[in-house]
This record gives sequence, structure tokens and C-alpha cells, in this order.
Amino acid sequence: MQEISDKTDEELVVLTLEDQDNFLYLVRRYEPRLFRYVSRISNVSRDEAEDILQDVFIKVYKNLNGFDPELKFSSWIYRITHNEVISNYRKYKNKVKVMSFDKDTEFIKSLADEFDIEQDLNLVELKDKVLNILNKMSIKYRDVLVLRFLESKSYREISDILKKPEGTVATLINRAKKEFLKILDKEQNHE
Amino acid sequence: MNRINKLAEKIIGEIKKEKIEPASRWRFVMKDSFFWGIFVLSVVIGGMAVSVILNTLLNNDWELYMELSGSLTKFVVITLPYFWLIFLGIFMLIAYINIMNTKKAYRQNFKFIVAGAIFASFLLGLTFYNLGLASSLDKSLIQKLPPRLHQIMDSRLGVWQSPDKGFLVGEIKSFDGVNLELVDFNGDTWQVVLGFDLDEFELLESLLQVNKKIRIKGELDTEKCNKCFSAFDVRPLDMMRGMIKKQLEKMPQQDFSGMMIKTKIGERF
Repeated sequence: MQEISDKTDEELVVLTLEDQDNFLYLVRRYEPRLFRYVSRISNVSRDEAEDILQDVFIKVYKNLNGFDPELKFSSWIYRITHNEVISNYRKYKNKVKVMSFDKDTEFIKSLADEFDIEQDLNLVELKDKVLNILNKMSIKYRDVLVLRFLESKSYREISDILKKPEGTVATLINRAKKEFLKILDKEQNHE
Repeated sequence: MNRINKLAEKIIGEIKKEKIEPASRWRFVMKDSFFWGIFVLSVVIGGMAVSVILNTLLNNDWELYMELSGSLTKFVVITLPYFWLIFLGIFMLIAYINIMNTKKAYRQNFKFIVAGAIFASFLLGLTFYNLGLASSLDKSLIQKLPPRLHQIMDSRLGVWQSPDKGFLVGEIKSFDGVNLELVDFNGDTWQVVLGFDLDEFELLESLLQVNKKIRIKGELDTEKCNKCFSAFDVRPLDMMRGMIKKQLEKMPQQDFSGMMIKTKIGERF
């Protein structure tokens, strides 16, 4: 017999509606991913990220009957998370000035590759550089870069998360890239 | 217990402690239906606005534009149905906001949605216009509004409120078969003398009745009194000229070559 933890997201939604204890499996499955996502797009501390996540999961639970099975569950839960971060952004944005990705070398490398940042920099320097640029970007551009290059979401998924047409998503990603390169150029000219 | 499990347990504990339950499915169905309903309603109301716009534009006294305003451009600028265009714009905005709140509308391009809503309203407006809804709407709703509001809704009225130029608009207060008392949209009372024999124009009998709103073409008769006016041509204020024209065409004994209800004197124009 199939273990509950092996079931698909959509099956877990149905099971949760029958027995709320099954929601634990969804929370366990998505908590690390969403925690990472929240940290990457906002400047919040670990505790604040956990508070946001708690609100996110409670909203998800309350709205389980509103989940549209034609949508991927992951897109839906990322959308709720995105909205929660945006609505909390004003509250948190002045508290933590420096974004911290302790173990997020994957993200840094991914972005460094995408933007062809000097490979001779060591990881610490690279991380500083990328984080510095990201910190200077607006959240809407940072968000699409994170979704595309770190969360590896397709254009359709990003479209479902941000509730924007795919064409707009492509434009946003393009603009975010340009913004990133512009700041990178500025930084390099300063050095 | 690791951090993930701790948070997961905390969330489940919170759900149980607060006795949180998933909202029922019908609530989401109702919410989506509500947005669709408002969208459809906005498009229908937009359609009504389009029908009035069409009615206004198609019956815009084009044959009188030189006399009314001096040039075609000026006439168009003065008589465009701004109120209804703004009204249409507001309802298209409401339609857009509501459709964007439905489940998958965000996947569509903004321009397509707006163009689609306007196109649907236009088609409906065309249908409403052909069914005569614009005239009925004008007659039953707009005509009953206070004159000031009426003037805002129908920008053409300002053009007709020019007695110096030979145009007058207002509501009949009394009529004895030859003389009528008319209160214009500024509240002034006018003594109007019909410059033609009413017996020759059966249709005007139904038009020239107390409380009916009419437009008059003629000239000031200041020799008689300050607010005296001679009428050469009378037409209804509401937009039923298409219907009137059809009726006039059924009257072969008279010559109604133009859109105007011509009078013997009126043919001088």
C-alpha cells in the first residue's frame, strides 16, 4: 500500500479535507522550499520567515476547498506565499538591511552563471557581490529572478504564481536581468 | 525534533487550537460566480451605454451642424456623448476588475480582455439599438431627469439652448393649438408661436402636449416680447427620430424629404 507521504499534492489535499492531520504531510513537504523562497525574496529574519510561513499554511488550510485542481498545487501555494510576503513586505523591509543566504550557494552560483559574473572570484566574494546586487533590486524583480533561476519554475508556473500573463512574466524577467546587469556594471565601475 | 517538524507541529497545533476549518466549497464557487456575474452585468450595462451612444451619433442633427456650431469638427466636439462615453469607460473598468478576479483570467493579456469586453458591449449595444432600447431608455429614464442633469447626459442640448441662433429646447407647459408656453433648461419661460398650420402635421399633435420635451427651430420675436419665439420646425427631444421618420414616410400626401419634420416655413432652411 502506498505511504501517505508518497502521495501527490493533489491527493494530499483530498486526504486533508477528510482528516486535518494529513495536512502535516503537506506542511512538511513544502516548509523547506517555502522557507527558502521567503528568505530569498525578502529581507526577513528566520523568525519572521517562520511567522510568515505559519500564516501561509493556515491560509492554505482555510482555502483548501478553493484550490483549483487544474493548477499545480505548488503554484497555488507559492502564490499564497508570494502574496503573504508582499503584504508583509512594508512591515519587515526596514528591519533587516542585509539579505542572508547562509547555505544558498546554489542560488548564488546559478545567478552568477546566468549573468556571467567573474568566475575567478571565490565563493565568499561572489556571494557578497550577488547579494549586494539583489539587495539593491526591487522585490518584484528579485522575485522573478528567484522563481526562474532558483526555484526553476517555468514561465507558466511563474504566471500562475504571480497571476500575470506569460508574456508579462517574460518581460519582467528580461527587465530584472537588465536591472541586475545595470547594477553589476555600476558596481564594477566603482571598483 | 528538527526545525521543520517543530514548525509543522506548531501549525497543526494552531489549527486545532483555534478550531480552524477549511471554508466550504460553495463559498469559492459563489465568489467566482459573483465576479463573473458582475462582469456580465457590466458588459450588458456597457451595451446599453453603447446603444445610447449609437443613437446619439446616428441622430445627431448632422444636417444642421453648420447652423448649430459653424463647423463639423466643432459640432462633433460639442455634441459627442461624453457622459455615456465616460459611463461606458467606468463599466468597462468594472468588467475588467471583476474578470481579473476570476480563476484564470490573469493568463489572458490585458488588451485582449479589455478589447473583448468592449467588443461584447458593442455587439450588445448594436442589438439594443436595433431593438429600440436606446430610445426607450432615453424616453423612460433620461428624459425624466432634472434639466441640469439631463443637459450633462446629453451634450447636444447645450447646442439647442441658443435662442439667439434660432434654437430652443425645453418642456411644454401649456399649448392651445397655436401658442405654446415652454420652459427651457435654464428655467426661463418662453411664449412660442407655431409658424405653421398644425392640421397639416398630424404627427405633431402627439408631440405638442403638456410635459413633453421638444426642440424648436425658429427665430426670436423680440418685437412681441423678450421671451417670444416663432417656431418653424419642431422635433421631439427624445431620440425617436428614426421611428418618426418611418411614420412620416407613410404619409404620402406630404413632402418630408429630410430627417427634419419640415414645415412650410421651415423649408426655407
